[in-house]
Amino acid sequence: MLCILIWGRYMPTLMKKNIAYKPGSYGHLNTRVKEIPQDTTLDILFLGSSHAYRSFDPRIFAQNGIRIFNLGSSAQTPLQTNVLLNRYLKSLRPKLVVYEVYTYPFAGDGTESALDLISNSPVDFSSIKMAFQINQLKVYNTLLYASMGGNNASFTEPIKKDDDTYISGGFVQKNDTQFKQLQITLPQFNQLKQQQLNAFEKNLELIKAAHIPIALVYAPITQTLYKSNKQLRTQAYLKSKAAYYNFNELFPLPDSCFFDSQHLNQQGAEQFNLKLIALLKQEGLLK
Amino acid sequence: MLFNSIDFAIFLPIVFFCYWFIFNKKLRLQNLFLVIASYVFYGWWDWRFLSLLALSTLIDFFAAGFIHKQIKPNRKKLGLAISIVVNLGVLCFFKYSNFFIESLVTTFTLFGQTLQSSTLQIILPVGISFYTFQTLGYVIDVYRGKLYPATDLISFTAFVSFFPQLVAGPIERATNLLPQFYQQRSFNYPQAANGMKQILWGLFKKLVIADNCGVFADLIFDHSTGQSGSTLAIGTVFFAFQIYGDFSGYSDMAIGIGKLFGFTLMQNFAYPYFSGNPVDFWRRWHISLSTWFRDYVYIPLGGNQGSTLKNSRNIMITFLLSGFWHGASWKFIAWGGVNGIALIPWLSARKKKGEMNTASTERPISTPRSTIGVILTFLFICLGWVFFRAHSLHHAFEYFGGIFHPSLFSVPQLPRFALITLLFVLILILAEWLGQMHDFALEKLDNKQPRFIRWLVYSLLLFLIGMYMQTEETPFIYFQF
Repeated sequence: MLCILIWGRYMPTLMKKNIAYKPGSYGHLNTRVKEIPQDTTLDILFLGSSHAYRSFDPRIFAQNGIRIFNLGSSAQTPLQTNVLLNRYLKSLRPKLVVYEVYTYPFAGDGTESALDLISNSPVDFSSIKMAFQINQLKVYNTLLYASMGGNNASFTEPIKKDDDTYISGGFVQKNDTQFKQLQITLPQFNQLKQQQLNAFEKNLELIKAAHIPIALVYAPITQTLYKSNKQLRTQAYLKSKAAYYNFNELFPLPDSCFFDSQHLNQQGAEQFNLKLIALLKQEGLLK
Repeated sequence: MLFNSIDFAIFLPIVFFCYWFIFNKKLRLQNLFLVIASYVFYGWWDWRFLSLLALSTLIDFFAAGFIHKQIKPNRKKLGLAISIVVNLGVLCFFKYSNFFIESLVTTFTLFGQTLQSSTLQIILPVGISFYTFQTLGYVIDVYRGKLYPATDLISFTAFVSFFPQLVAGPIERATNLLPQFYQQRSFNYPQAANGMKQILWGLFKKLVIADNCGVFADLIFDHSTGQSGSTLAIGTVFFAFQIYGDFSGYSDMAIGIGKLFGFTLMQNFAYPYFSGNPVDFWRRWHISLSTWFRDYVYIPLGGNQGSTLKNSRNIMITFLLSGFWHGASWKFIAWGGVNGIALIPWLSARKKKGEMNTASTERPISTPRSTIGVILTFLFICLGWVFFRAHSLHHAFEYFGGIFHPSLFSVPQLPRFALITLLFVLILILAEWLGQMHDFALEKLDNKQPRFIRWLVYSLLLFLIGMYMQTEETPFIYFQF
């Protein structure tokens, strides 16, 4: 363990192949975690991957008198959502949870997001349990290092990183608006990892046990990508679990609203958020 | 299950404990337990192929018994023929059926004829090339009168299926391994400790050296078009150490595990990249296979007796078959052929000097001449590996064309971590040069060294494994490294 501490602290990144401790990595989770309000009542708590933190802008909700916090993170899978819920659900006390369900991360083992979470938030029993669930050496090494030598608490993350600007409340605004086509294959239902589906159901149970209504939201992606695989079986599964709203059917957006095949730009986020607010009010989930 | 897997890490201590503490009272029981453990080990891959293993075992057990009982040479030959036909028939079916079908189709195509055919969906049973040769060697040794046939089926089954060497060798000789199943084994701490050391060294070679070299070998070979000659040349070096680390590492683990159970398996690699010439290389590389081909193919063909032409023919047949054993593809046959051609002048020169069966006694890199010999041999072997690693014969020739280009003298384009990997390779070379008088390099660290130093080295190796082994997580979407 001492070797991991010394190696992780003093060796250059190139030499630390299996220690992926990187505070301030992609997605601004470091700032987001530090900003989590303590002992408060939110109107909406948002969960999910980058589709969450790039889609739900607190400013737009605030203009409509709605207080939110966006707890999305890079490639967040249900395993990481579970950690975040265990840590923060009670203290945040949201009136509604909106769970963004772009299921691409569900097909992964969660290592990428686990490393992000370990590097940018405290190490606790939930994150140790998550490490055992993922069972990858890189996660174990990074967790060991974080528990001994991690310095993410004292780390100050720049608000502006490359094209991204962190907006208070958990949103990350993309400044570069040039559209980039990505080659992505959306997974079939049988490609989703059972472990992730189990964790997803546990997350829903956690939220329901706290008597908080849930809305599962499939945020817009480009129509080209969406129509390449509508994931009908996945959608049927999600519909069976909670109130489910697929905005790719309800409110399809043109490519000009995206900065890549799967992420909204600011214009797209604004349009989507206004539609979401109207829908949630209409459904009685938001008063 | 692989030796470097969690499954095996759980399997081995359980088997070790049961073997030494529960089933150690009676030899037969201990052997039976080894059979069960070995069948569980093999069945972990695919339980369907246990029947093949059992079939091979039974055929050769009874064939050897039959051969031994016969007085007439023709009857003995019949027994041998049955064993050879069954063993090689099974091997050919599973390993070479599609090769023969595809080659036939290609031949007809060359003559302008289209042959309608489809290849068979055959799964190659793990380790079939190894255990088939092991049992075949046993039957041949019985036929030659070198060995009495096994009378106890359990001991023989344990010999065939012994899990440390079942799937990747060493291809054991019955004269060495089978008698060990007839003797009561008692726990020997120094042997077990030595075995643990060898396992650790094998893990280091496999997980740190081989797997990391493999990343760059794959990168270069899979994207060889447009690469500079120097990059392609470095690619051969990466592959050279990938295959050496992988194979010799696995052998070290197999031999080390054997020691844990009180068995002595044969050395399979003897620092082959320190060879001063191609003949020396083949006395150091995959020793169990090269000696198998020497004793069961080369010598029966006539070996080095007779004219130079006959000797050359015997060498070429042996190496072409050896290449074919490695894989069902013309590129492997070409690889074998190239090595055979390289050996002919050396063996002819040695025959004239009367040095046929002596391994090189010169310590490598001790004189300028020997150093040049080592370097040139290594370069030749690396070029030979191109056939081995390339996707096809055509790709191999394209690769050669890419190497022998003016860009061979340019700076290679490699990711930064490739330099770290090359540093590890240099550390390996240094360690092996220092330890070359031992069966494996880490064995040099014996009880004469202070305990603190020994455990520091072991800890460092474990740490490097933990820091640099390849992990199997899902490819990252966003993470910036």
